[in-house]
Amino acid sequence: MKTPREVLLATHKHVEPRLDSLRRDVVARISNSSTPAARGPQAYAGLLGDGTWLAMLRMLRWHLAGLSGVWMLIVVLRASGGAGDTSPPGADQPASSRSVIFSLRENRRQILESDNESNFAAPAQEAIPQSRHGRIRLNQAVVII
Amino acid sequence: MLAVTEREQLPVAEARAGDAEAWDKLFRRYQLPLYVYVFQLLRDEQTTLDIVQETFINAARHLATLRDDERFGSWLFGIAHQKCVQRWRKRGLQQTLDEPLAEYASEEPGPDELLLRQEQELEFMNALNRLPEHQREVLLLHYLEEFSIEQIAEVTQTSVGTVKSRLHYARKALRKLIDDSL
Repeated sequence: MKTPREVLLATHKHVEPRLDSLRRDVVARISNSSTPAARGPQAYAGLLGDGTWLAMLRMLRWHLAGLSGVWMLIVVLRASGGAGDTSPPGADQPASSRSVIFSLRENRRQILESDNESNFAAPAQEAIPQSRHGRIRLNQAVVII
Repeated sequence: MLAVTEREQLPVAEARAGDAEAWDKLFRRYQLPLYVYVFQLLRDEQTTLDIVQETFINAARHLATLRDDERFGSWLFGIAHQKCVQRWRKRGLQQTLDEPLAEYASEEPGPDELLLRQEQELEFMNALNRLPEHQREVLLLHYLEEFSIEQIAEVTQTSVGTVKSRLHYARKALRKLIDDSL
């Protein structure tokens, strides 16, 4: 009398040599892939010696993908944060030389205007800048009057 | 005589550490039962050998995911089972011979242990091949490795209740087929 297991295994016993060969092949692959030489610095040395940077990049693909993802996240967060910002562009940045010149000119114009308001006697000369010396004398004259 | 021993000491931890000899022992232990299981489901020798090889390679790659070393056997059969399911899907194969078994499935359960005389061996194999896949697979796992109901449920990715039901009907159907053929 035999158990079903014994009958089943005996029925397929003829295939054992092929299974043995298959097993040896798989075990050889495992032992090759698990040896330190296959996984250690020699593998990397061969890789660099060949100059196959592409292979190196391929090895680091997950690291690169992760870093790219982080940068994308930073860009998206900055873009979404900037959309809600109501402050004028460049408010927190140092003024450019052009805007400095513009404000200086504006200051000068306002000084001239205030000068002219006090010196109501010469409105026609507003357009023609006077020399500093002349302007002082003119102011003195107004004070004297 | 080949028999399934209780609480086998399998060198799973050594295999996990990369010991080739341990892998050899593990594969040697399971190669024939795995082959029988897959062959009885697919009936193609070359495909079966391919699946056994793929199962071994996958096991070597993913052994770290196995949490309980004592479940190595059912885990290995689970990998092979998934590969059988993939092949069935490729072929568009469905369970066969469901209808003829309906009359057997409704009968009362008989004795659990099945011992076969020499003249019954061929009938046993023929009867097994006539069972539908879902019954044949639970019966094979039960006979080949004496897996528990829970382990068979894990391997076949079904519920414990389903396995109990399938095993019950499969045993009865098998016995009936053998008896009828003699």
